[in-house]
Amino acid sequence: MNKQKVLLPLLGLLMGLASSEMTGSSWRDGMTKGKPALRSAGSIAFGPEGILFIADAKSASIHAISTGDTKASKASPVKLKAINTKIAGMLGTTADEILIRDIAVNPISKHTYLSLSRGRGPSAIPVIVRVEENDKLIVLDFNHVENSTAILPDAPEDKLMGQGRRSSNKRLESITDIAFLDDRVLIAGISNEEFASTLRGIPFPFKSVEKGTSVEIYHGAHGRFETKSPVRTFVPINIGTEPHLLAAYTCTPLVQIPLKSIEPGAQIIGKTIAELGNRNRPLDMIVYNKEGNVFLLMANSSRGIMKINAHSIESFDKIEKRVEGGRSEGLPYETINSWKGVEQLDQLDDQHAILLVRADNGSLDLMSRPLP
Amino acid sequence: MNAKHYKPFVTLLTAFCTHTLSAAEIQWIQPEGASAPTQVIASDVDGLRHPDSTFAKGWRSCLKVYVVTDAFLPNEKPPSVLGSCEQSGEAITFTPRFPFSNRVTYRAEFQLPESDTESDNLYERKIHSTWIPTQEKKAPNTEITQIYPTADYLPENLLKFYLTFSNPMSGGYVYDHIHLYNELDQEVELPFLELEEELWDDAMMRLTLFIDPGRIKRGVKPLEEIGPSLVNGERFRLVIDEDWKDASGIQLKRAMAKSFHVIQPDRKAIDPIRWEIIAPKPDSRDALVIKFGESLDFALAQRLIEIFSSEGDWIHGSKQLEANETEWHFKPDSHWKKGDYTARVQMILEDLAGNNIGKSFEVDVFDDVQRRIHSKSTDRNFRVR
Repeated sequence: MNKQKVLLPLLGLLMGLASSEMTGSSWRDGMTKGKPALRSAGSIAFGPEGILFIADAKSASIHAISTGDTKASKASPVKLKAINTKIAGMLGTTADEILIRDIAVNPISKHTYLSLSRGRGPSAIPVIVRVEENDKLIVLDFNHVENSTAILPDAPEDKLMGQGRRSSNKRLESITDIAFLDDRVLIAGISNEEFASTLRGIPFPFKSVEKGTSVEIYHGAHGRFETKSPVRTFVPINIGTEPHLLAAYTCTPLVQIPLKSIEPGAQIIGKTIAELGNRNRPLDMIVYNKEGNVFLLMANSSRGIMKINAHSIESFDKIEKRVEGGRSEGLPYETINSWKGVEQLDQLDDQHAILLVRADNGSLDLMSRPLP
Repeated sequence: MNAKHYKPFVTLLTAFCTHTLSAAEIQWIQPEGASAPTQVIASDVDGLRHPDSTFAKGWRSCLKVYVVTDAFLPNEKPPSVLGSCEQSGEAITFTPRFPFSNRVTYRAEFQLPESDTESDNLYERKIHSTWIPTQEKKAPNTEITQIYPTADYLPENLLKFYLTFSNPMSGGYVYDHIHLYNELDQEVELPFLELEEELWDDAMMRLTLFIDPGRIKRGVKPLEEIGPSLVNGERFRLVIDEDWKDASGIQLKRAMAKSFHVIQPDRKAIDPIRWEIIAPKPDSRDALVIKFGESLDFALAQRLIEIFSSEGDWIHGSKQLEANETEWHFKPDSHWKKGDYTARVQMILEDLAGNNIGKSFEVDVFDDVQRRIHSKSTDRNFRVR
């Protein structure tokens, strides 16, 4: 997910943190050379200077890795049929033992990166693959890379119990999505025990980890506050001049969250701007500019690709009453029927998207397509 | 690496020897007790004796390993397995970057680099060997040990199930193996919150299964389009397929089903003041028993209740949930001493419907903002005498 380009420098000001005019070396402050303690690789996102952020739910960490992939270049077309089989062959296994978790494009080199696991059990190995020119696949070697890690803080109750807590009895959290914005990594998490979701912001370069920001949203389909529903995927977007997150929750309400409010311990009331219907799971989102307009593109499990003009978000009133019939309400959208089976997407360049598509025969294909 | 050192089990070798590679062979090095090879060795490689030959310069790319699969088209060259080659004497050893799997067939190919001489047919300059995993089928050994909540009567607004297994499981596509049927034996469509990041514990022996919050009945009206997953007064069946594989790739010993009746929704907050505490005897290691008066969340009730002495010392011990998770039993590691104790309970403890202490899961818009609870825990005191 390309989530670093959209915001204005204003954001730095709003958050009262360092501006984005950081010099090259300082982005790597606190990094050391060696092998990051990566136990799992889930969502990924690019920061500045080819720095890749990897969500590692197993060790409750975000790893920042300097990929060294910093040569500016133009995007080349990608057409990789059965990419899971090809990657499996390189990793000495079969496609059914490969789980692709996320894709992200390095905005500098325009190379697509895939995060995946080799194996499906507790000893599965996290792997990051880069797609270079002519569809060449490179499995990244993390033995000697500049990296730093932010460990997500213990849940509040773990702190409260202090030293008494046994390590085997700790809260576990999955990370559903991450993004880099200006100077911080945003992380959406869900606990695997209590029904609770968090949105956190961690300043980068990593220094200290903040307490999770809990986000409360009004959930159109239920006519109630849904304080705890997990965020599946999110994307930064400017609404007017204000930086926001657009977050897609379970059962597909689209919620707009002002970014300045994502601060330690804050309680935010997000604004539900679209109710996109039941029987549907949002999978991934991107925001892009085309012909002077800003569009949001959202891949869904059963409603295909939705294209939404961001200008309509500004003018749209929030949904406060119950939406009957599980139907969709809110923002008008267009369905891109020609894109089928999209599981992941990102923006490749100004003109193109990169898609991970599940074909009818079950094969997973990575391909570039002109932005609609 | 010295192959003998590992008492190798050597699989031989289909060697198409040519005039240039008279004695070359390929061996799979499989240490005793290992279920797959760890390395591949091409030995007696003539060309290595002649450091100036084309071959000696290009030996690193001569030995390659491929996964044998029908996933590739016949005319498609599969990618070679990542790894590194080392030369030792007249042998070249390939070590894979990721360990070989005992469930995959591999083919090793040793091929001389392209020659300047056109008459050197590449196929004649190639030898290969295939490693096939042992075919013996292991008997299924992994079982579903429990489905929580264990009660037979569950509220309509039930929030989650936990499945526990006797061995580590394989993740990815877990929802394909889990089904919910109504009393007409019709499968309920998409009843669970299907997250890409599946909610496993670290050992992958426990899976958390949230009911999709969009499918939990709220307020007075049902959800129109597909309706709630669970309906008051009806009987349901949660079924786990046996074809779900454990971490070693073997399916479960047997399928498992949990039948239950759905009763009226629980919208009441948990109230620890109403809990009954049965204090143990001093100088014993008897269990302290807390009776909740309702079933609570299995995982959270184990994690979020702790016992402290009047001096504030944390009491070590083991916890167990009994009687359909309505009772919490705590056995201390040391004998109880006479005195006052505290059971400290985190406010985020949940019952089966996700209601917390002092806070219902389903809270009205403004109530929630006005009546936010600031304290993180609540105490219940008891005396051992």
